[in-house]
Amino acid sequence: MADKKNVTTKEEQIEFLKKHESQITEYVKNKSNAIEEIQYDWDSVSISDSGAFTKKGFNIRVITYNKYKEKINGYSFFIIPKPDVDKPERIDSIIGLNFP
Amino acid sequence: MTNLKKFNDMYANLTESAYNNRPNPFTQEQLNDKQKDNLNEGKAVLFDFSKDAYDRDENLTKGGINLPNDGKVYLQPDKTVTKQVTNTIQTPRPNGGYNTEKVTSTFETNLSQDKFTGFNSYFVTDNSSINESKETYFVTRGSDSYESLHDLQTDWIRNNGTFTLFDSYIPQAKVATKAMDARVAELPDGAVMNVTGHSLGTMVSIQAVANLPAGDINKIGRVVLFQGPDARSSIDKMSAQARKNIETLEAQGKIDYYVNPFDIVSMLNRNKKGVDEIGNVHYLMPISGTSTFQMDAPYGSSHEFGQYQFNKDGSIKEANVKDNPEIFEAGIRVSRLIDETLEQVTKAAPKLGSQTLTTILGLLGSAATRNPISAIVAAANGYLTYEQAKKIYDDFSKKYNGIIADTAKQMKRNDKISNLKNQISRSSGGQKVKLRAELAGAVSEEAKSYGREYEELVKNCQQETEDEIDRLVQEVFEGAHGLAFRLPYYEVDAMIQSFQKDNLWDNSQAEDNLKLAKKYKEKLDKFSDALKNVSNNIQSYDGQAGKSLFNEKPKTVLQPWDLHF
Repeated sequence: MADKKNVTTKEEQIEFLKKHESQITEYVKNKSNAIEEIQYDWDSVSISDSGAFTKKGFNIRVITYNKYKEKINGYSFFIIPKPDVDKPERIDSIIGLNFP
Repeated sequence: MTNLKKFNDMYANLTESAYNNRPNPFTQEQLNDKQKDNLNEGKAVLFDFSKDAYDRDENLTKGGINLPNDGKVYLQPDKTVTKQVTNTIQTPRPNGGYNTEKVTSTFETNLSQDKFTGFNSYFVTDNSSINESKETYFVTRGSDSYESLHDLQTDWIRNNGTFTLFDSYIPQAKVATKAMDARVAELPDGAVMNVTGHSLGTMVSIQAVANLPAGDINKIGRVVLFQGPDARSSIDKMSAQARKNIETLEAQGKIDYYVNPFDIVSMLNRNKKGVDEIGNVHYLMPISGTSTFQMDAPYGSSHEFGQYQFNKDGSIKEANVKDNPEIFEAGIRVSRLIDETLEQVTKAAPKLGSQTLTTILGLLGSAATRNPISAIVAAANGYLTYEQAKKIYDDFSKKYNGIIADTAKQMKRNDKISNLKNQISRSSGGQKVKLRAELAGAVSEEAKSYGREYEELVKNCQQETEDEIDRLVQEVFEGAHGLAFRLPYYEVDAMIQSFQKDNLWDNSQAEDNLKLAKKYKEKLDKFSDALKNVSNNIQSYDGQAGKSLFNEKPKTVLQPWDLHF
């Protein structure tokens, strides 16, 4: 899952994800009542796909915390943008991996 | 990307999990922190496929039924060491040719993952301890997408491309053989290692198994491969031991391939004259007719797990020749189209050497790129003109989409016929007559295409049988010659007399079969025309007389599955 050469730079990819941070946070929190806070690892942002003939998306690691600010777990999320990773404008879909 | 709708088949579950960004991914980077900690501490990680899982768009994969060990498997850590890799990398120049640079890199790698060849595998077991396991699974990931140069360098050129055109022992398979051998050595007495993979993972798996030491083969359980090309030609070029390994597993009925007839990766190297495809080949009954490149289709491309259907008992739904001849016909046509396209490329550019690989890859994947024709021209390294590339691409696309459209139409018609029959059984009076008219129209269309499919299948079955007999005769001849130094010539001759091809294969019978198939097709054409006429005038038919029509079917001359040779 190495970071691959794309039209967008890593900074632009992070910028896109930060712009949609609240949408991602809402998605993550909706999946489990135990999750109170989440922390993004922006350095972890990378591009990958799901095999040949599949769309590319962004992976990002997220750490989840409970209301006592104790770490619950850390997960990878896969976010597919529209129209594509080269020119991300909005989020098409979000998937939590081995989550929750 | 579309995923399995149900986790009903353990092998399909595992191959899907070998990919990134799918439900229950095995990839180290996509495990959650607790799972990672376990692996880093040398502990196995539990995955339970009896439980539901969600993917993108909140699609649900339902937990599986009738799974071995109730769906529980354990991903085992790989404790092999880091190694340093020094290598030469070639990158294509935009105006043709390659840049070569020597790169020394240190990769954190182990036997399960090889970053240079792009090999990724996972070892899972039915017990958290390998020593206590009975069933274990060696799972190989298929290709990643090939849009970047990195991917072209790894999976697609070095592995897929080489395999497609030259049937060679691909780099990932060499690494996989070592990894499999190491895992077999860990197995306790009585345990077996099953092997599975999807797409490129099938090529890697079968070649790796073939090259295992003879002593490992009795430890192999089943080899279940999804949507990959036939590998017979490549195995035939390998050592005598490699051929024997595969023959042994085939004789034990341990090798199964599942293919989607619309998928160009599945149908690569298939339905070729004189080639006995490896293992039992099962044709999946896809949900819809889509090409390999239709990533946005509702159930996904034909290369996707989302196209799989399951029977009530949980087994994967396959097409059968009796009910779904159009599925097999589509597979045969797609295989032939791939062969024709390869021939077209070679004819247009006879000087193409190894660069042909990229041409073909560019062609096959071109629908996924923004400028397919330019991509093919670039990939051909100047040996194909823009016009030639465009013609090849256009011909391929037109024919490929045509095959899918034809078959999809027939699949829909079959569904329509089945729905109409159900509706008729529940309706009465005028409604019934109207539905019968519709049914007659649909059956009329179906009869015509059935005749064509039937003729195609008879030809194909007959060719396969003749190929098998040729092989048998050759084997008997060679075997008898091996004994010749012990027996007089006339005794050897007498011994093999009954195995001469003339005694096993009746040319006139074969011709008769084809004539009968043609006759049957003509009969069905006539039946279709008559039925169409009935459909148009059904209102004037007596209700009872109309009804009896549906109980009369043209007598089948012969069925492909009942052929006499």
